[in-house]
Amino acid sequence: MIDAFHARPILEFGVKERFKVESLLAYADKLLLGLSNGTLRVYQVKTSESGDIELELLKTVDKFSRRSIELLACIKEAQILVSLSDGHVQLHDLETCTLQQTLVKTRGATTFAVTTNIERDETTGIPSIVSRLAVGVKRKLLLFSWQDEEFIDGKEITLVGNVRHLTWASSRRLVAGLASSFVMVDIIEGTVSDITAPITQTTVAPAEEAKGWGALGMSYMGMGGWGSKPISTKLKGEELLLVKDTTAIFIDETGKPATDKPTAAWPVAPDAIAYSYPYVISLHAGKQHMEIRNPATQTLIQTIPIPGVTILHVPPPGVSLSHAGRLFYVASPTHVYKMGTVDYETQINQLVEAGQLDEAISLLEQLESVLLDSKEERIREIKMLKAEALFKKRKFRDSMGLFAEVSAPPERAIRLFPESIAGELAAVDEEHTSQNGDSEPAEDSDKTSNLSKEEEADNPENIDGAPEEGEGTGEANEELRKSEDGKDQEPAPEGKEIDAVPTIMEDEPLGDIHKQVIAPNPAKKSVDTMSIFSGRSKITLTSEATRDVAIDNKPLEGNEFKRAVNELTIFLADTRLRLSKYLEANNPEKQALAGPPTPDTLGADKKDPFDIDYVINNSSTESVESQYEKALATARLVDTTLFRAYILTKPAMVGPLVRRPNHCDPNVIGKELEKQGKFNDLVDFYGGKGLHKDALKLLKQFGQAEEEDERAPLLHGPERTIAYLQTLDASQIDLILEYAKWVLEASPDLGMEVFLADTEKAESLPRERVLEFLQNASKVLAIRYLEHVIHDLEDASPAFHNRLAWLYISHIQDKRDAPEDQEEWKEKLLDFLKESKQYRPERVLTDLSPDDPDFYEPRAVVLSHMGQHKRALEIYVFKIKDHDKAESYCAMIHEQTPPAPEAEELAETPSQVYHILLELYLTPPSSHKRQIGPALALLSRHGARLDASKALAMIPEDTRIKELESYFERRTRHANSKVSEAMVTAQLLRSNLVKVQHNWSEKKKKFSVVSEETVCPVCHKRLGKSVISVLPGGTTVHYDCGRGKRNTSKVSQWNR
Amino acid sequence: MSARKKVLLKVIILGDSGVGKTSLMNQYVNKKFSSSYKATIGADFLTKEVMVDDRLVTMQLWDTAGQERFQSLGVAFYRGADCCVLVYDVNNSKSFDMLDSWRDEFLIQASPNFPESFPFVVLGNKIDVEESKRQISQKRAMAYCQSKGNIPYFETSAKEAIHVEEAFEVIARNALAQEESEEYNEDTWATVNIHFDDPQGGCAC
Repeated sequence: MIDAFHARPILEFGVKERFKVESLLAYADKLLLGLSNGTLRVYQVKTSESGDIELELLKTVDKFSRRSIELLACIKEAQILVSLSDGHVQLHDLETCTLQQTLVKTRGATTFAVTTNIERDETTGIPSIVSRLAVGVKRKLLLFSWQDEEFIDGKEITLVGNVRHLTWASSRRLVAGLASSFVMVDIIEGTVSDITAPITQTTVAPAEEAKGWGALGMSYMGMGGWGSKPISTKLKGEELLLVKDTTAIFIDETGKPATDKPTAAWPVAPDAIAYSYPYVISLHAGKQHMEIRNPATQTLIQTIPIPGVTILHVPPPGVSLSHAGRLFYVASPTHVYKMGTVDYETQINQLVEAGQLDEAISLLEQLESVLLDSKEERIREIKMLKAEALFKKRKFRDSMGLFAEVSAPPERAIRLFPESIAGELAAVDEEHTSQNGDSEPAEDSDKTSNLSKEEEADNPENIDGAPEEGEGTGEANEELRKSEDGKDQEPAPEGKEIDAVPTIMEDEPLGDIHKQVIAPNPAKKSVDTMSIFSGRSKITLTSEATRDVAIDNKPLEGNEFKRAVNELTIFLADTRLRLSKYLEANNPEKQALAGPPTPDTLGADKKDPFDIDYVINNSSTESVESQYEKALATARLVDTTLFRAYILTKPAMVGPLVRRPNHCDPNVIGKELEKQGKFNDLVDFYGGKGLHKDALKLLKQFGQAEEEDERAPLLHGPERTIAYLQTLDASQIDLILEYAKWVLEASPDLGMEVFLADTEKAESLPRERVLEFLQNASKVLAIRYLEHVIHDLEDASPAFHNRLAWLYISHIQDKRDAPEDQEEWKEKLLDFLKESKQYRPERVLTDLSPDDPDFYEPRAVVLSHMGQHKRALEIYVFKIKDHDKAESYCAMIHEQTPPAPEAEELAETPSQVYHILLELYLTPPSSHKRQIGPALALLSRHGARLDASKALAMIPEDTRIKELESYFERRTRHANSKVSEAMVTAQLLRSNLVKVQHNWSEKKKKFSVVSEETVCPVCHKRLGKSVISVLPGGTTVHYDCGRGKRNTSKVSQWNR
Repeated sequence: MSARKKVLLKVIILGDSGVGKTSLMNQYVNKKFSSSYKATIGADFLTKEVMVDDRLVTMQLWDTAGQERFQSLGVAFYRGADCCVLVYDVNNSKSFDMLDSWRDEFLIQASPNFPESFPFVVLGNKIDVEESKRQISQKRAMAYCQSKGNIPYFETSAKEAIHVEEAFEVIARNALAQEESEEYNEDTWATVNIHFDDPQGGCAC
């Protein structure tokens, strides 16, 4: 219940006057009164600067009519004053009030209606101003019109009943209220159609929607009969409201019932109705008051008592401004009142204060946005208030749904919860209660009053139109103070005006009584009981605020609390999703990479109904960066709250939340999870946040524990740490190495997986660092790592190869006292030295002690890499004394060296290595004995690979020819086989020559004749003496012409 | 609760892009397979009526966009789901690694009353591709499903229609069980507190 209008008496006739006010007309600043004695009075309405209204009597036309003036209207465009008096419609000049014409045809007229519109001529399409007058004379409808100030007598249309009331629906349609029904008349076509009420809609219309009218389920059927006058009025846009008795129907201008508004019933039949944007006004002469209703919700907004009121006159709205009829007049036979509107801001604030949030929303939605500052924001704000009210009514789902609908800043919803959920945000409420806690018995009422104050607290904010930024705890106090101030300053709108008593005043104490009577037990203050009671009261709409008070005393707990939290999590999850999309799209780091946002992505943002500015409580003036910062802060709040909610109601959801990318506050989460013993999730959380050190510390703590911790059995042992370390990449190498230590000590095999795993991350770790680390831990591990790097990852950097060689060597040296593994390691070293080409032999050689028998062979291998075959062979021959190895060494080198082409005989190098060996056998350094046996064996086996003369020269004099037999035999055979081979080749080549010669002579036989007339079959020109091609089929063409058929045999010109 | 009332089961299929969510659904509902790839935009659903223990249920299968840029689904979409099918490609280890993320995100968005017992089903798709290309072994997938509370696991091929029917049968069964337990819980949630001990009880008229 609000004060939408207030009435100001502007004119009063003494009781002794012998006339009454019968009709009233206002236009521009003029006010015309038609009196019962036929006198017309013209006043000028003056509004002084102080707001006082004065009337100046301009003229009194005594003999305006012989009888009382029943109805007045003006057609400004034609400067005509239309009046109904004595059963006739008369036309007067608007200025001079001299009679122009009495419309004789209208004898017996009961009512008339005028309208002025811009109409287009049907044939030419030229627009012109057309004013129309419709007069109801018994069952006839007489039409007149003025077009460009020219009076035209129109047609007559006969209706089924006596015309009681007329309203123009549009320029060509009008609604005529007959005794028993309404009809829509099309004046151009001359057709009449019945208006039928939507019967089905009335019957199903939920009682709640029709609350303002008293839900009686009355249908059109009940509209007939009785003497009450059918009345109608035009509403905003193209809607009309028709009322007969207590039934009201909304129709559009064609006569169809409006789909969005149900038929409704008025508690008492009105005597007149009118529309003053955005309200419907009805006049109840019997009750001596006027009722103001919101046409959308049909709620009674205000009741204005005016003694003896009979006339309601709303100046017709202008052509373009639908809210022009804001000021209107009402009159009783002796008084005239001017109705003024309270400005909309105040109205809305009143509604909000009264807790009629739905009403406020509806009003806001109907008002044009130019009339209000930031209409959208107000609607949103009030919807949030409504959501808060719903929350207090324990309608959690609706509440959170509404929050989501308006993209509410999450803190608005969060702070409705106790501290266990809301954290710091809850401090607002906590403070209230602690302040009031000292007066125990009064606590409940105090709390509620605080809460309602809090609701109001938003109002001053709204009037400022500047949404507050941020919602800290400090500001909460300020808010409270502000709200109290706001209450004190509340203006008292009633002055000398007649008290416009809001009906709710009557209802409110009633509500309080209900509370006291029916709800001694707080548990009984349920919504349901309240609604039963409010249903009983005359005005069905109970202040929502009143109801809130009844319920809010009880703290949330048990199932109810769970339900509330569950709904909150859904709202938060939704907000979180939207926020993350925004953050993703606007991440400054990413944008720097991607450059300025493309028009495409910008467009997508705009399409999203979700407005990021709303969610983060932003004002648009801020830079993109700070907006992003705010969004981040909001995301942190959302996720942290979500976390708290999960901890309390659905612990199983904590894991999913902390594993997903989130903005949770690590301090809160860390403490909470630790408290709850959810260490597993805590590790996941730290991991997700990049707080690897914390995670690893924790893992170490639990992993190293002697026994499984029952709170987190999965964390025992090194496995989790290993798995965790494996997820880290190269940038975390310090951490990896730090925490790999204990794992390696606990289980080297498992621990090595961190470095050896076949994953990209393990592969990309900086190898030097890892190697250094492992080498410090254990040489064996370092070797394993290097083997992996060299063999599996095929790393060819010489440093690693050198290092591996050195590691093998030093490991063999270290482990000399444990001979069991020695062989294996030696083999490994040897294999490595043989296979790798990447180590620097000079360096490795210095590591290999020349006198250590373990390293004889490795030295030989290294030397051979250096090309020092002689030194290598010396080792085989003199140190290892293994002739087979020496020989196979020679064979290996021989094979490795590619045979020099076409100069096999001359090739000195291949045989060089055998030669060296032979030399070592036969002419050893002085310290060693000559070894004839192996030398001869070498000669007999590989004699062919040795230069004969050199070899023989080396053989000692005293060697018996017999011992050389096999050498010579082999040598001779080798030579012989070479000769035979050459002979065979010669024969083959010869036969080939014959074949080629034969072919040549065959080819020479081919010819082609080109005469003077011979024409090229391709281009049909003579071949003449140009170059030709002879195709395989024998056709002769130009060389160029034959180019397409590439496989031609070319024959030169002189071959003809 | 009437046992014979018509049941609508909402099943949501999630997984990385290109693992074959649409194909699986198409194979199951339409018995068709197309080898051409077309990214799903937003979400799309097909319905199929099936008998589960001689109860007729309508399965509403929601196919979703795997590609992030096509994901425009809000919380409302996930709410009221009865079963969530997580799909990965056995030849793509990343799609397997992402299963956890899909599962977590689903739980947050859908916010089921009992997240521990919410039915998931994991499908390893594309097993028709040659063995040498396979990256996720059956053993590894099974171990994962085991660790997440014995999630049913199926190796499927939408192309060759291998195990598709069986998988969806289990999906339908689990979804139905979930739906029924939710129904039961809905009742418990909305407990009406009747105070018989209220001295002022009785009609308030």
